[in-house]
Amino acid sequence: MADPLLETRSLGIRLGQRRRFLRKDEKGFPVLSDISFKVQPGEILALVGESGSGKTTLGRAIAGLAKIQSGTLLFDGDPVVEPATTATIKTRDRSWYRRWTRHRKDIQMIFQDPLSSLNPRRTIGQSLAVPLRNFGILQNAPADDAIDALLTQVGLTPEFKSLYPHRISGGQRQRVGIARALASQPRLIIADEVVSGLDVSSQARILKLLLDLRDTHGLSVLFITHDLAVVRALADRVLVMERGKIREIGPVDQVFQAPKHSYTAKLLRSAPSPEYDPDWLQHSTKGPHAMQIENSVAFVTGANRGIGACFVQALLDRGAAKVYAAARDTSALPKDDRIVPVALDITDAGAVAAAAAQAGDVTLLINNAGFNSNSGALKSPAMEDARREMDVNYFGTLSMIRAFAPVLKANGGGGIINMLSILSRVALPMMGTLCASKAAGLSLTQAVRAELKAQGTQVFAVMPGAVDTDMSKDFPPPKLDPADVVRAALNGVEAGDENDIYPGDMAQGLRAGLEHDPKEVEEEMSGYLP
Amino acid sequence: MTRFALSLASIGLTLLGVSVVVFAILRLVPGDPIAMMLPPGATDEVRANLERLYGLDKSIAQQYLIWLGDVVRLDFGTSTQFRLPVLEVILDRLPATLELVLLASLIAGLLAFTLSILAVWLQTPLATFVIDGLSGLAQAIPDFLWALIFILIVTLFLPNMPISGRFDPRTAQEFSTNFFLLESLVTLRFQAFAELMRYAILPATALALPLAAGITRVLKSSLEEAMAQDYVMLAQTKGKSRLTIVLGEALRNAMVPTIALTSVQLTFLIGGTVLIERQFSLPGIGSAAISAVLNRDLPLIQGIVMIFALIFILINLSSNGLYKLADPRLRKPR
Amino acid sequence: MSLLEVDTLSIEVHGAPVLRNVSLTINAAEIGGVVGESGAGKSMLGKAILGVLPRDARITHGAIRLDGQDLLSLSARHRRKLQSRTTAFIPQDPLTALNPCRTIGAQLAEVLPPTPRAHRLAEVIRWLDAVRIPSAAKVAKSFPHELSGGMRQRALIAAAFASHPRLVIADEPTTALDATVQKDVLRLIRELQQDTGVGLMFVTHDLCVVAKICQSVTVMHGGRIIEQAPCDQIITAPRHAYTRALLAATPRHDETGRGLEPIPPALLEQLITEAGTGNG
Repeated sequence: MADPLLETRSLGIRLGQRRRFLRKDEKGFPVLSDISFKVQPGEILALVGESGSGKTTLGRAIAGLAKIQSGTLLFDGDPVVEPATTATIKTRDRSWYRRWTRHRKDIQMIFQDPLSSLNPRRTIGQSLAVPLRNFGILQNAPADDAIDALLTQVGLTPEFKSLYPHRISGGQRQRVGIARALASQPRLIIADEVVSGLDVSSQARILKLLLDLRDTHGLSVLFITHDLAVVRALADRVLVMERGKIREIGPVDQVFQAPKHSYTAKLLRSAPSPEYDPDWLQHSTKGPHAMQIENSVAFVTGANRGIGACFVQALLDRGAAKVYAAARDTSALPKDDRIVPVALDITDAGAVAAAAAQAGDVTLLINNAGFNSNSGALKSPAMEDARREMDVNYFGTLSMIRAFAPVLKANGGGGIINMLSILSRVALPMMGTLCASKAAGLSLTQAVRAELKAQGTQVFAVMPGAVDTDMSKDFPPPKLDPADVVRAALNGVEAGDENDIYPGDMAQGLRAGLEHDPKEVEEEMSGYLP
Repeated sequence: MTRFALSLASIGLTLLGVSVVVFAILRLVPGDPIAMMLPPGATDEVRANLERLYGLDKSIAQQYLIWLGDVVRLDFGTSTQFRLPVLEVILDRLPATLELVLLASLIAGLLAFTLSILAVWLQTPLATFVIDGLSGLAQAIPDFLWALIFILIVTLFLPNMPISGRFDPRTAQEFSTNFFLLESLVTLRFQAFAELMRYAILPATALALPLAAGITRVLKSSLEEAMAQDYVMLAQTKGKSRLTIVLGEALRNAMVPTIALTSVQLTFLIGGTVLIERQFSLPGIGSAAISAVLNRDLPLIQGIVMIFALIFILINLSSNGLYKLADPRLRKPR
Repeated sequence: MSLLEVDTLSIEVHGAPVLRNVSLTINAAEIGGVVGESGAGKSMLGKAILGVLPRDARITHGAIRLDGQDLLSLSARHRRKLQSRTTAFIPQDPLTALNPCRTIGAQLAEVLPPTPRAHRLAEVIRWLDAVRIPSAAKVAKSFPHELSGGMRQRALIAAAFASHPRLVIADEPTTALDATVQKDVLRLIRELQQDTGVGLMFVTHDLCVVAKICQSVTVMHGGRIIEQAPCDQIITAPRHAYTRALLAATPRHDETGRGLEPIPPALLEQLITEAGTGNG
């Protein structure tokens, strides 16, 4: 294969970094991390993602319009950005900007809204003359001829050069945008959502134009879009991005026919095609294991208070046929003819097995029971407490899953929700033993998910931030309403998401932080004590 | 907390900067305050004594530091003209100016809001033409010219209407503060209030007209912009009348640009009091400023400028606070 | 009798026709699509039905009947009163369609049918719950900029259905949303529509969405109706050349090489000539 025109290795970008007078500098937040891909000469690579995926930032960074903070960027083998140049982060440092000058001519960008990227006070001819002059393309030749040639190349007539941007249609403006990008005779064009505001007819013309330019000039195009149908029509390869990370990259046909990542599959399930199908909305974006709460039979442990009690109530509200409400003390359970109280200590393997035998119709298992000693790892007599945490949070959950997996299989798959906490992912000082037991629960969840896939059982963990229950009474606010946690978990069951669920801003924020920069999260959490 | 401390510090810095500039410029301008005080044919000895008395024999830097030290203790020195402490002069005259400014802003706000809401509500070419014409006229004529026009009209057609002073000295009013208007209102002496208003209305209106015109222009165009938004169309589909939509949906969204302009214009208005007070012989800070300049009353000029600077800073700060009140998007995320 | 009957409606803006002889009906419990490219007059049609035409637009001919009642013959005030109870609107851009200075709860509360003040908040929360907005109580107190685009659109959908209308007009309700959100929002609209039995006029440029949600479709171009048929027929066996061209120009994610056929200029010229001679 030929040498790539563009190559990135582990690019990373943070936004919102700010130096501040007399106050703590703002560290910003990562929008892109670990971005590695190649663009071959004459290739059209589509960059697909939803809002917040970082696709626009990536395009701008490659065009030299946003600062890259880590990684390597090679254009035509020439390292434009190297780790050495990204090491020091100074917001006022513009040297990165100069590094693009050698390639500014070769990399051109077309923007989504041509009306705002064309100067309204200049005629189209004047706008096109600027790059021609700045990049020294003309070499004393009259500008008019070059402008006429550019306009003809994008399917417009020379008469357009005396018009102002607001006088022409959206599709025509977008072609002027392409003409302006072509003026410097670039080798790579970055097109950011260039057809998203256009009618299908103008869209088809722009797509055809881009294909023609590739065929006649060997131009490479990085085509940024949210529209999978356009990708299929235009691109050779596709790169799927979600939350600042590459989820999947490959030839378009291959990725669209057999997506490897669940996010790609979800995107494909969400994209409509012009085919009459009134049922399409029903099978919606749900995963393969989606199940209805209505008429399901659930088994909830730790059901007498806190999140467990909320689960019981929400299950009944959503029309569950029967709820086995298990707790060591069942006296506090509400009276309802759909509630079956089960007195159960989940650390007692024999009792668990008996419960599974009693509840042979269960389709949804909610492992909610947990224990929190609220004591430090090195504090005595913490050993007993630590053991108890492991017994309830890990071994208890394990024996429940072992006992109920055959039941779920017999009932056609069903689902298991393991109620954990964001502490499964991060350790808090003074809560190390609890965190360890929760982390064990998460590892177990992930392993069991793979093992039970074959029998069609959906398994996921729910990891909220601090929730407003007795168990976290020592935590500082803001705390989540337990009802919101339960809603997120049950929605997950109905959506058939294969991913774990992180309810609440705090858990979401930590998850995002962990994905991008685990070290920093660790540092931040070290200052946080309940 | 640090934010608060920082904004306090920035106020302090601004005032310090103003003090340096004021002090330096007044020392650099030609003219000799001592010479103004001396009777003709005074000896050099008398002159030297006076210089020592007012500290003018020391170096400029020393003079500044001494002055600054006093200023921090709210001691602006003694007015050479009134032979009274500057603070006393200012406190005596500030209420008249503040009441004038307050009344003028109220009139301006009332006029501007009524006219712009009327224009946007009616939306007829005639209403737009009339209101644009009125505000253009009000803005084209400066406040002191309005004052002259009013004085002319009043002397010709309303000889009973007073055109000078704050109140009738013959009906000597018994007030415990210098805020006559406010005090008469608070103590429910409406007769006295009406009498005082007869004196206050002309200068206040003269000051208010250009401000009202400025606010009308911004408020009207902001309202028109807001009325073109989708949420207004949605409100129409909910069956709301146009006036309800203007007042309930558009007005709040039009507030931010209006506050921004008003706070700038308000500082001009305070500057405008200098001439207006002179024209209507009002015993306010503005007329004091003019006589202080004419008489080279350096301590008084310095005191007045510092007070004006403080007022301008307070206006800016409160407009920042008002932005946040008007537009939830400018508030800190919860 | 149909719920909505638009009868040979023509509208001019500054003397230039933007709608010509448009007739269409929408039944109760039906989703009728109105499809067209920009300039087709589809949004103008929606505004005419809602009674929120721009001031410079003038209805020159035709009638709009809702439940048999001719809306154009009513006084402005009477029509506004009637339509605030019978019609509702779901706009395109959830960011600009909510007043940034008022809370979600306040904007939702005002469309509720007369409700005692004490029950209003509970009713607002019930509606926010109904459109599956998490933490409904918190969202009711939030301002629009504190919500994501999908959540804002859900709030607007709640506001449309909360007034218990007979007819809902949705103008490109999911164009501004992400694909995964779009599908959920479409499903939500259809569920609410089916539960309440309202007639829904779905205005869009996107044939893909039409194919999934509509029962009948009206294709428009240049202010004229090109073709009207049940949805499956429009998608699988379109009769008019313009509809066929529109379908050919629509790319699809499940087939390579589609969507690269612009609508032939000759066809567009022919449509314009037809419109000029009043043949439509």
